[in-house]
Amino acid sequence: MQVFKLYFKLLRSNKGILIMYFAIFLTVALVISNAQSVDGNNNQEAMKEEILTITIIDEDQKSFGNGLKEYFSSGNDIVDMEYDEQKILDKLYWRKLDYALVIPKGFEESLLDEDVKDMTLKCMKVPGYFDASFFESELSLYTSKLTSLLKAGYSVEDAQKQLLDLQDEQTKVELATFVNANQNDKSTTFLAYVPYLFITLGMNGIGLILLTFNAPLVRARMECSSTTMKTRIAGLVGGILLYGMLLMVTVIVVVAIVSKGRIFMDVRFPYFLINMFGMLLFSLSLGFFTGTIAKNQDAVNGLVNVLSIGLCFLGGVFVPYEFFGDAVLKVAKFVPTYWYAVTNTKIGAMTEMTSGLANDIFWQVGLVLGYALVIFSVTIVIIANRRKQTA
Amino acid sequence: MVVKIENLVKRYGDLVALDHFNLEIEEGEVFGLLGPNGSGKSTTINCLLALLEYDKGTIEVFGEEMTPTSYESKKNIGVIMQNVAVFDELTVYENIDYFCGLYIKDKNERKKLVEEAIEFVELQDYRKFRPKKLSGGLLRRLNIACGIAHKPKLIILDEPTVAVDPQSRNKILEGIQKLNQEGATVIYTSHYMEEVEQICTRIAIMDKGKNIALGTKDELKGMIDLGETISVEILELPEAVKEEIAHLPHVMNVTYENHLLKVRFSKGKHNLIRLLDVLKEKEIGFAGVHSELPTLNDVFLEITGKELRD
Repeated sequence: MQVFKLYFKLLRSNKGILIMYFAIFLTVALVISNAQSVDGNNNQEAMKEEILTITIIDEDQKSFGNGLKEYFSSGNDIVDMEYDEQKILDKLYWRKLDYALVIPKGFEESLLDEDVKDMTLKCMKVPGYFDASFFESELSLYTSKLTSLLKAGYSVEDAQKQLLDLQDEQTKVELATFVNANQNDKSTTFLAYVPYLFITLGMNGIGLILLTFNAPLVRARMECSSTTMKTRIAGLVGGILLYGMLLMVTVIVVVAIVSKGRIFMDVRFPYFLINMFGMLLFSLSLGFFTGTIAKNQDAVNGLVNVLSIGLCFLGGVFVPYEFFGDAVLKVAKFVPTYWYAVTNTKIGAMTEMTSGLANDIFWQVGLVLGYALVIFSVTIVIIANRRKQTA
Repeated sequence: MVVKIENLVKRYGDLVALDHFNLEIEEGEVFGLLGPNGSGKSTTINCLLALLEYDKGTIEVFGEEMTPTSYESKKNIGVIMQNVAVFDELTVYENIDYFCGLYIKDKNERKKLVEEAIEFVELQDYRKFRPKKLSGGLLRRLNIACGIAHKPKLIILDEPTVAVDPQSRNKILEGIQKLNQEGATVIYTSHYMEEVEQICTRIAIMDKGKNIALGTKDELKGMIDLGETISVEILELPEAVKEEIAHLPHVMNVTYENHLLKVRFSKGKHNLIRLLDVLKEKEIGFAGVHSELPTLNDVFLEITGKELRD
């Protein structure tokens, strides 16, 4: 009991660093889950049509100009302006205008008569502005189709009418959802960041305490005492497990707040817990390893930063693994945080549990637990070797 | 018998740290282990506490073989290490309470013992201080309190006064004597012979992992020929007079350096009178005269041919 109590007294003396990492996690997870996630069927709203403000100045005053205006007035805002270069530039600068198109005098004639030298449409736009480039490519497509129709014998009016009719035949585009609308909900996005919390607080909360416990002088004093080694280890393990449970409970409380309590009614909740539990045990074993090999507090801090950020980036916690290239993905598969992230995504997307999905989840959590077991075993070997050398 | 060590051998690679070391300590003794750095004192203590495995020999504490799992024996042992072994994160009270709690499970009893320990080392005004805010001397006192709070029957102190100011050192030594008077057997290791002479009832002198002499301080001093060393302040001493002094009875050695004549005599009577008679007869003027009885350093010097603090 003495060692168990001491664990929490020492933890209390390190509360500053623990609160700091918790605050970093909470800020990042909440901000990103709010920014990235969408609720329910809002996926469609994420892809909405852009309306451009365009002016078409027709110096040619032929039917081509009117047809062009009619064609692009659908889905765009066509404004009338006199040709005044300074005024147009001002409007472009202040983004009151996205594109200015000037049809030069004699343009239609150049389209119809092969003997007349080709003329080009004059344009003014903000360089590098994506929407304007999009309009430009639409315009290029329009003139290309129009030229083809004219060559086929259509008059300018008929050709433009044909193109207008074609424009009416729209294809309905729906944004594909990978599985269901749950996938990017706040809880799933928030829980994706849990490995960072578990790794940083696991490594600090265990590493720093073990460092103090393993200091040769106090360890020798404890070994001289009449408290058996079993009791001391039990106290320490009890402290570590309770600390781990507190971490887990903290995350559940925050998720409950984020999801406004809905997470408890969610069919996915038990599977989220299983996945988190795997990651928790991995983080605790990492903390055990850190506390055993680190020589001082600076070494613990260094290991925490390198491993937490490294594992979270490479595992697809900070950057979704869908964005990884093949080579990075191959490496990521060796990292436990990757399997946590994959499982979290799968659980997030699930509407009902199938045997295939259950199998995937348990295998992947098992893999993370395997990593935990390997790190724990390596640490035990290090401790055993050290004891031999000391003796 | 509180401690019995027989034929203890401990090697670190090729280095023999303890070479067939033997020791017996009776209940109620303040037993001093004296020796220069590297003589094997701390290795003996670490083997005795089962912190170190040894190559050969046996160690018994309270009549039972001492192993890492001798928890019954460990209940009655208090340890005060050479370096301060406390938690920086805990207060003075919490540190003493924690280490006492490793022996005493009952909360009320422990509370009483912790208070007594705080009072014993006079840290009442510092109970809420963290170790980093304590001076070196106060830290040492906290270290002692952590080792004795559970009222052990055997207290092992491994050089507890290293780097301690004279005032704190005296307090520590007085405390050890008080603990002994209250019934504790004390093993005290040091390379400060004055401390060992001051508090120890029996002393073992160690060198190169061996017990080279054992006994009370008088018994140890009796083992050597040196009786006394007489120093006389003389402005000028002719070589002939120095020669004459060297031929006086019981004289072992004569030196004259920096206007100080030092004559080492073997045990015998009237040494001082004979020396002063020679000086008077030769009309040699002198100032201060000092006579010193042999110290443990002299014992060590005579046995090993080197100083304790070499």
